[in-house]
Formats: sequence, structure tokens, C-alpha cells
Amino acid sequence: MEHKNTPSDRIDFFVGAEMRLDTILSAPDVLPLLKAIIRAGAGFVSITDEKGRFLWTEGAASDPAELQSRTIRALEQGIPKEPGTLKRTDDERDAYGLSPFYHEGEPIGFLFVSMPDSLNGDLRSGLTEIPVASLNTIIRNNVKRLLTTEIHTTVVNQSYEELLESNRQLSIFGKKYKELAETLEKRVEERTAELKLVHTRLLQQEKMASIGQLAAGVAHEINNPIGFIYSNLNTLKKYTGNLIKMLEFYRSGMRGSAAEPAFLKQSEELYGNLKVDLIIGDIHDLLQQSLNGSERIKNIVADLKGFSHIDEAARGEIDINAELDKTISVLSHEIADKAANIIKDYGRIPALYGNPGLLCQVFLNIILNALQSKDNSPAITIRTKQCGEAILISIADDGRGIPGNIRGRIFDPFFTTKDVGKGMGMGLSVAYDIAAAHGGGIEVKSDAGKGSEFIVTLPLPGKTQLHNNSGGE
Amino acid sequence: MIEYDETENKMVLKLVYYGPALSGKTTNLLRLHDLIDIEGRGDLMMLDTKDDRTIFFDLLPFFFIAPSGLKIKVKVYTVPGQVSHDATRKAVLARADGVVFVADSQLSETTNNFESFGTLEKNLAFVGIDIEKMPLVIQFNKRDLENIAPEDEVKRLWEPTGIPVIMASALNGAGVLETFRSLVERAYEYIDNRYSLEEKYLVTKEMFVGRLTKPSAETSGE
Repeated sequence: MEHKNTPSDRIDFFVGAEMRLDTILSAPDVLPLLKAIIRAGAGFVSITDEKGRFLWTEGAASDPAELQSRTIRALEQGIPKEPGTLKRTDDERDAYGLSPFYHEGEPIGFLFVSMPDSLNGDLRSGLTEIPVASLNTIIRNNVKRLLTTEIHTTVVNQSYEELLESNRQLSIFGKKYKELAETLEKRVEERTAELKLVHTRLLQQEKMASIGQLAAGVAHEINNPIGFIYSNLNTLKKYTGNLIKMLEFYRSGMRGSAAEPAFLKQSEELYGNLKVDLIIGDIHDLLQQSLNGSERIKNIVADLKGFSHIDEAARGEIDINAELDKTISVLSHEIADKAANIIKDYGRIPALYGNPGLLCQVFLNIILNALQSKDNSPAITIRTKQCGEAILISIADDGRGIPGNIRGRIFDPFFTTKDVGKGMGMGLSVAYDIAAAHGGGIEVKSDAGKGSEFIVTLPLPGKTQLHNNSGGE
Repeated sequence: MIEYDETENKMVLKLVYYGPALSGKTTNLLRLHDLIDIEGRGDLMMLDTKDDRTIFFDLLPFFFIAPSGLKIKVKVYTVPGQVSHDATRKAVLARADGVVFVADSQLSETTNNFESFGTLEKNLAFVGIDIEKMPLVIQFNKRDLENIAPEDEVKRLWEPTGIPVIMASALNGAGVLETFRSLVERAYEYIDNRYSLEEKYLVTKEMFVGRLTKPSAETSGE
């Protein structure tokens, strides 16, 4: 029942508040009326509140304050239902009329008029009835105006507040949509480019993987024939040695024998014509070279097989130092071509869990770049060490170095400084992805003209889970 | 309660006729004005109406003077029924001491009745009044029309709520006084609970209800 403040406190206005006369009427409403009453012959006139206190007066009275207190006392006795007459004192000539006017069915004020006896009766009643009727009308209309204005203002204010609020909301949404619309095209473009990159990278990885598989398959096929070729060459070498020994034994035995001179002469001629001397001198070298060649083929095949890890599970414990050696071995031809100086500085490092094939690819790509960093005899230092919970593999060259303006882009796919057809620009990008898939990363330090150092960081097992998306096999 | 002034010995209460548009709230007040003895009431004030529809509110004041001298003024209001005047309805409902919900009995108006009752619940909560405690009477008006909700169905639907339901035809005065009396009785209990009307001011329920609902001389006996 009592008025409680609403949560939002928005209804502080309510319909039905009690109103007093001085809030309903104002001087401009009543003064012309009072002046007219005086002009019509009244001596003094006042509009009082519900208790008889004079609010507005007009005309002259000998003692208005005394009149007011008399009015208040009279009203305390009871409210005159019809225009009543205030008792006058013996020395007074004027009669006093006191008439109520109403608001919401209750007397809210009175019209007090003092009238000389000289006025006739009709004029006297007219002097009260007309203003009272007017005041009732003015009050009713003012009350209506007050209430409607108040409600109207409240409603308008409330609607305005609601509109402001919804406008605020709308402008927030509008801004969001605008931003969205403005950036949408850009974002679609970015996304498309990203997707394109990923797609190309996947294609590239697939390609590399199939090349690797092909190489491994070829290596596997070559492995058996080269095995018996190598072994047969060894046997052949032994057999030819034996045959040569036998031939020389016969030849020396024949010289001192009593064989026919014609036969001797003929065999010496043939020996000379057939250049057997030369053959005996050369055959050993030929076989040795063949043996060396096939041994190289055997080694290459073994390395290739080991490098592509076709015979091993995709992931497992890896000895990084051994993998580096394998990679260097695969690159032995390039290293020899460039007369490169490989300096190994391997530390004692624990085994690492990961995909050896992929990690070899990382090392391969970095070492290849190092080899190409200088036109002639580059010095490449390969260091490994444990650093806290990670293994660091540093591959440093003394080549041209990487200019600062492109250093930030070397891991971007398809970024290459090589001539068209010489490189795809995928090597470091792929290396970076593989390192990241192992929970690690690649850092690069480079001084233009002095060389570059690539540091591959790989976390030790138990610290970082190997990512599942290390694919590309 | 609008006002309670102990020094002035005055209490001002507010009762509200609520309901959907054109359900007959103003007609209820017009008939009350005709039916109730002039001694106990003031004049009906109708604020600007447009096309005979209330856009602000109507007011009918009632008066009661307790044996102790306490003056009780009861202001009875209607609210505008149209959906668009929700803010006015809130202002009229604020500080109410009792509500008559005037429903339109016509079957076609069922949805409007429910929607309007929904706004009553919402607006009462908005102005901080607990509908469970506030005196509430439901009047099913326009019983004189065709195609109206059957009385037994209305009763079956509303009786479980404990809210009194009164059938009325405000246009010819039927049920108008009963509705008002029912509300005044509840309002008395509601006020008496908090302000000890009987104990402190010697106002009994019979006195209060009798005075406020005393039929005028011409209509007495109805």
C-alpha cells in the first residue's frame, strides 16, 4: 500500500496527489475577478484557502487581519453550505459573505466579500454567485490541465527515455554492423588468402611426401641388386687376382721350358697384342673403382632409407645427433661440390620424442640454405645442446646473411630470394611448421655479410605434447 | 495509499478500475455516480476524452468521516484501456489500495482480457505492489450481450484463484454496486490490517462499507 520505490525508480509521479488551492489557482486567474467585484460595488474581497486564510485580496478594509481571524474562527465552527454571512460587529456597516468552492467534492477555498448595505439583495447575491461559479469552473479546468499536463509530461519523458535507450542500442548495433560490413570484404580476402596458402602448403607437403616415398621405394629396390653387385665384385676381384697369379706362373714357367720356340714366340706376340700387361695393371683399379662406386651406392641407399624412415614407425625416440649425421650424409654430394667445411659440435643430449623423418627435413632445409649462403667453401657449424627442458640445434654459416628487411618474411610460404625455378620458397616455411608441430620453434640471428644462425628449439618429452597435426608423411 | 496525515487527521485512499479498452470502466463509474447517495461522494470528473474513450482517467471521490474525526477520502479512478497508454496506467495504479478488473464478457475479447490482466500484473509489480496481497475483484461486464463466455465457465476458471468474480451489465447498472461493495470490503480489511481503523479510529467495516456504498434515495431498494 505504501509507495515503494520501484527498481528503476521511474514512477515518482502518481495520479491522485491531494492539491491545495494555491497550486490550482494563480494570481492572474483570480485578480481580474476580484477587481471586477470591487468595481461592481464591494468594499473588500478575498479568496481564502480551505481554512479561511486570505490568499488573494482586493479593495480596502479597516482591519484585514482581524477579518481573516474572524473568518478562520467561523470556519472552525462549520462550513457554510450556501453563501453564508459572517457576523458583523455593531459598528460595521458592511455585510460579509462567505461562499465555498469545490475540488473533488470538498470545499477547497472560500470567497470572502464585504458588501455595503447600500447594495440591493440581488446584486449582493450576484457578487458572490457569479465569481463562485467562475472559480469552480476555473478550478476544474486548471485541475484537468494540471493532471493532463503532468501525465502527458510523464509519458513524454518516459517515452523519450525509452527512445533514447533504444536509440543507444540501435546505434551500437548500427556501428557493429557498419564495422562488420566495412571489414567483411577485407576479412574474406584475408581468409581466402590464408586458405589458399594452407591448401598450397598441403599440396606441397603431399608432393614432398610422395617424392620421399618414391625415393625410399627406389632405394629399397636398388638395395638388393647393389648388395649382390657389391659382393660379386669383391669375389670377382679375388678371382681375377687368382687368375692373374696363375697366368704369371705359366708365363714364367714357359720361358725356361723346352717348349717349341715357335709357340713361345707366338704366345709372346699374342700377350703383346692383347695388351695383357695393361689389363693386369688396370683390372685391379677397375674392380676397385667399381667396388668403391657400388659401396657409395650402397651407402646412399642406406642413408636414403634411413632418411625417409620407410622402415620405421612414424614417431618415436630420436637421437638428434644421429639424425643430423644422416642428413649431412644425404647431402654429402652437395657438401663436396661446394667444398664446404662442416664443423660438428654435438653435445650430450637426451633422446627426443617425435617424427625423425620430419625433423630430418627441418635440418636438411636449413643446411641446404647454409650451403647456398656462400659461393665457395662455406663453413657450417652444427651445434647441439640441452638447455633446460629443451634441446637446441644451432646451424650457423659464414655466408651472406639475411638482410634485415626480409628477415621477418623468411618463414612465409613461397618467400624466396632464389631465381625462378631454383626454389619454391617452401623450405623454411615447412621447417617452421614441423618445429611448431613438435612444440618448438625456429629462431634466426643474422648479420648481413657475416652469416646466419638458425636455432631450432625442441622441447623434451613430458613437457610438451607432440601435436597431432604434425602430418605431411 | 495516496496520503495519511495524522496531524490533519486525514487519510486518502485510491481504488482503480482496470481492464481492456472498451470493457466499461467509465460506465461503471458513471453508474456508481448515479447509484450512490450524494452525501458520500463528490462529482465525477472525466478528463479529456476522445471519441468517448478515456485517454487519461476518470475520477469519482468518496468521503467518510470516522467517529474519531478521521476524514477518509476514497478516490476511485479508471485507467485508459488502450495498449498505448501504459505509462498513464502505471501512474494511476501507483499507490492503489484496491483494483477492480473489468473484463469484457464477449468471447471475441478473451485474448484482450488476458493481455490486459497480464499488464495489470506487470504494472503492479512495476509500481511496487504485490498483487497477491492487494484487494482485487474481477467483474465480467456486458452480460446483456450475445456471444459471451458462459457464467459457469468463467466461475470455474477464476474461482480457484480466490478472487471474487462478479457478473455485471454496467450499462443498465446490474452488478455495479456489488462490484464496488466487494472491493470496498476488501480495501477496508487491507487498510484495517495496517492502520487499525477500528481500534484507533472506531471505524467498523459495516460503517465504512455502508457509508461508501449507500444508495441514493431514488435508487435505494435496488
